[in-house]
Amino acid sequence: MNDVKKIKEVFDDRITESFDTEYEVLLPGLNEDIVKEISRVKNEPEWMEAVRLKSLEIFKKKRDPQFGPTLEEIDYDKVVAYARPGAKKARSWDEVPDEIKEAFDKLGIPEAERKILAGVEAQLDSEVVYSHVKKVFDKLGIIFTDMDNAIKKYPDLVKDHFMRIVPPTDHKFAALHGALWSGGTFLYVPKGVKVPMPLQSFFMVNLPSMGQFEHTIIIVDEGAQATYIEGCSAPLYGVHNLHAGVVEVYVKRGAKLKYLTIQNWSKSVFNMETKRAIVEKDGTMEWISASFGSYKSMVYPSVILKGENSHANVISVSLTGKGQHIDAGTKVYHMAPRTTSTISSKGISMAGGWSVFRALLRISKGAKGAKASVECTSVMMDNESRSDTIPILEILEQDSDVGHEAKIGRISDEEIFYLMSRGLSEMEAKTLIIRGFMEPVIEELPLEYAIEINRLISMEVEGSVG
Amino acid sequence: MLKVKDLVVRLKDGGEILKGINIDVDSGEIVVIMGPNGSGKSTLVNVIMGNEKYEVVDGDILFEGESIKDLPTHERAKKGIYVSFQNPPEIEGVRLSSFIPMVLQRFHPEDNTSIPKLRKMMKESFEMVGLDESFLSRHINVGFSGGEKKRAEIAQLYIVKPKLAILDEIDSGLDVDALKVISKIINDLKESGTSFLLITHNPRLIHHIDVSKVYVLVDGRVVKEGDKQLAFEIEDKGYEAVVK
Amino acid sequence: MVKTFELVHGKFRSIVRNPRRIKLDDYGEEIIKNLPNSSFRMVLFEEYKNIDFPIWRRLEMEGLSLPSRPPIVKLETNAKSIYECSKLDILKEYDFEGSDRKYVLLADIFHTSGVCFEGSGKISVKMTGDSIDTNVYVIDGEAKIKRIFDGNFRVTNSRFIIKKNAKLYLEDLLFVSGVEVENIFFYIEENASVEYNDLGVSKGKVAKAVFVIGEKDSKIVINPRVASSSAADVLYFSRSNVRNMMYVDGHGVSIGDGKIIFRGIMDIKKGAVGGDYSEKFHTLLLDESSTFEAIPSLYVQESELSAQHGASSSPIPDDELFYLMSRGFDLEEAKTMIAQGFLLDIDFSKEAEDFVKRVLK
Repeated sequence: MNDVKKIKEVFDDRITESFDTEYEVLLPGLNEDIVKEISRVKNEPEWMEAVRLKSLEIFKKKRDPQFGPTLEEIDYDKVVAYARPGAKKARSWDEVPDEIKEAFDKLGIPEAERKILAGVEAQLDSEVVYSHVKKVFDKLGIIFTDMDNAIKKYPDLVKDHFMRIVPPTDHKFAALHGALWSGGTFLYVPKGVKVPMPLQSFFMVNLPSMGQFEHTIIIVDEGAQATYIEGCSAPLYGVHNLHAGVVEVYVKRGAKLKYLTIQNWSKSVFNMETKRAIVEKDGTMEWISASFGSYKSMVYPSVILKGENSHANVISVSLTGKGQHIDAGTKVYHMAPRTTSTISSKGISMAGGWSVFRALLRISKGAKGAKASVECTSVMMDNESRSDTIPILEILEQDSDVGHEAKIGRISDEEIFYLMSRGLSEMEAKTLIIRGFMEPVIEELPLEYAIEINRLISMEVEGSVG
Repeated sequence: MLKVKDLVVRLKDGGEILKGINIDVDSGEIVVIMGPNGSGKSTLVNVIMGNEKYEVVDGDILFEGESIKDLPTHERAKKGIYVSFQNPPEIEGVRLSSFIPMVLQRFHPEDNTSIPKLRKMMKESFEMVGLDESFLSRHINVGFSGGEKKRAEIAQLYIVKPKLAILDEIDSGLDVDALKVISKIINDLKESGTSFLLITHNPRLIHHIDVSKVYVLVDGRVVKEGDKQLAFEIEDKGYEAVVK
Repeated sequence: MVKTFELVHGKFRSIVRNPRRIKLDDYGEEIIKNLPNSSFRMVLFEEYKNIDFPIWRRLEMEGLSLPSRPPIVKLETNAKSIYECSKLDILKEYDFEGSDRKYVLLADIFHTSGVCFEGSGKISVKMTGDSIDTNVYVIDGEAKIKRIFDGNFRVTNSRFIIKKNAKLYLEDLLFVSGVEVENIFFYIEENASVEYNDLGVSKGKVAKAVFVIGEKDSKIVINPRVASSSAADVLYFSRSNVRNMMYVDGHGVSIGDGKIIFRGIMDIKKGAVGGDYSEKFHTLLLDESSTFEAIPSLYVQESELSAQHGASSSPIPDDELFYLMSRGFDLEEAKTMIAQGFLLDIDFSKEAEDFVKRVLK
């Protein structure tokens, strides 16, 4: 595939790991046999087994990324144990820590869903809802299913798009993902179809190992439009030490995808997700995310603007609190004329958290008339926290217009005082202000998510105010 | 002097703005173009000066009998056309005191006014338009108010004394006193041989000026042509009533 | 020693990427023996000899080829020479990592020239030719320093210690046709201030790092004006844990195949309450193959302060070109005029224009 070759040329070692560092990672339990066993149990075609084995070889030669949080605490034994087929995932409700149960209470999540979210049950009892939706989809020719099913039913479509824009050579966690991936969503929107409602991966929470190495492929064919919501909207109980999912998005000519994420992993998780989209002529890709969870993160949703006049819009808000080291950001590559992008990031750090925002914006030679802007605002709630902003602009085309602006802000005592003088508690006042700061993302969300975000914010603030 | 013939212009990648325009400015004349907002007045000015944002689809622009339609902007200037822009840009780091003598050189290569004399001239011109001497040491339009930019453009005009001066909305944002000064400058320059094309949608300025022709531009076309009286009529009754 | 990155927060640590290094022909002890103050130099050499030359990817610079012996520059100045300096220990006392430790040490160990100044008043320094030099300035009153360098090869350090309440106005004018690696360290004591107008014009590769450590209520305003038809990588670093101020407002002009790289590292620690920090970089891309890179980073651990950064690039604006052409200048003249104006928008000495013209023509 020519695309893939081109992409490899684009990703130098700033973005991915360099290919020349050779060293052997010895992982007890992570060997060819395990990988073959996963493939066999899943009854996969040969090519998939080959991808897994190749990925494993690559993984062994990859070192940790040479920037961002230290990762030596990752327990690969656990990683392997959970990836092993037949591993016991179900737990009894009693085993779920009180902290998580409390969170569920506050969020008002129904009992049935709580059990799934906590990893107690593997089936989401929403068949009724889903089957109704499914009828509409079938009529429009939309394929919306889990990856295991997609491999069986649409082998060629999957093969052509699986780990093409995030190749296993990309970095250590892409390689690990290639070897051990399991679960995830497959979405295909046919030419010209405008999906009438947001598609929610929530419906897909029916696979036991979802949440560790899930693989998502989204193809929006020419002129089609869709909104996809990745809902890890409740605090998933941290049965997984490491989350290294991969999302690959293909936006064809004139198509448009809006991808919304609400990330609220448990605060014990290493979140090493890789999300990347490639956009053809006149297409539009939007990454919109609100992030609250995880222990350490390295997540940089990317857009490759491959076709002329394609557009990227990345909006993110994040709240980094106690005991978190979140290294996140975005990358946009302008590879064709008249491509445009806007990146807007808002980050809040509080209660000793460390948030790092990185942006990489490259205007390749030949991307004439490209326009790009990066804007980031960080707010520090106190002087125990830390907020780093590291934008990289690489302008290789003269005929382009690029601007970046960033500032560090603070919620002024006057604002809080004013609100408190109107009868709000300190917590309510802070929540209200943070909520206002996050408005650009919240307004994109369906109501039920917006309400959840409000609850998440007040939980965080409550935790920090004490 | 200036002849605009059947000129059709469109924005690059855009629609037509001027739809076949004919305008004549004879030597020594002051010609006025009036028209409501968006009628194409500023486009016409930019096209006469060769702004590449616009594409001449048809027609021609003649200056002193020769077509200047395909000349680059600076060559048109060297022929003696000076435009006072409606919104001149700010150019950092280039001081007016060194810029103006260079401009003078372009318009009149044979000019050999001595530097001290030129300084005096610049100072006087600036003071005449109500800008104190310190403006000369500032960078082109940087940090100037709208009115100050206009005044600086007029001061340059007075020094350069071009063959044809095109003044785009020179009267907007200026008070009555400033307008008096400008009409005096226009009259003085006319005496010394400069022809004028004044773009305005406000006829206040022309009370004290000897105008020979008025064109009314609406939606990219000349819809009416007349003498100075036409301008006053518009002032009284508005465009719609007069144009009908 | 002031290290560039301190990526630690509570129990968390972040990985600092080290440049790859390469072994090249290097100066050794026998050269040191023949230089004055050799015992002082030998102490530093212990660290130096274990470090290889960095490979700088952004500059596409793999080490540098040293002249067979350290060159000796022509120096004209009203200040004392570094050889007459009684304060060489300042080199160790005010030590820093710079753009790369290798080069900071190289200039300190193998310098054959430099200036040593203590006091206040007007100082002028002019260096012509190739050079390895190290310089020390201790300012205790009001000082105006003008420095000119015009040459092909240079590795240099400068340390400025601005004493309490002192004021320094510094003007640097530089033209390099080959390679320059320059490291500057400002230590600004309480309530002292620095204004630094810095013109760097290059037809060769330039790597410059400006490190700033300021005490309470110190102020520094830096106005870099950088033009290159090759590659120039300029880094501004500051670390603060008290209230002070640093402004960097950079203009770059990238010419022909030139590449301008502006980097900022503002490391603001807890305690910098009421501090004011700003870094802004704007570059004009003059020609089709001109490029620009900017990394204006902020590291903030204090909430009560003002910190901002911005970067932008553009070709020369069409309306400015059109305006100048409407006054009779051809395209090239107009471009040159705008580029020159963009670089010389602040007050520089008369030599500045000549340097700029050398690279714009």
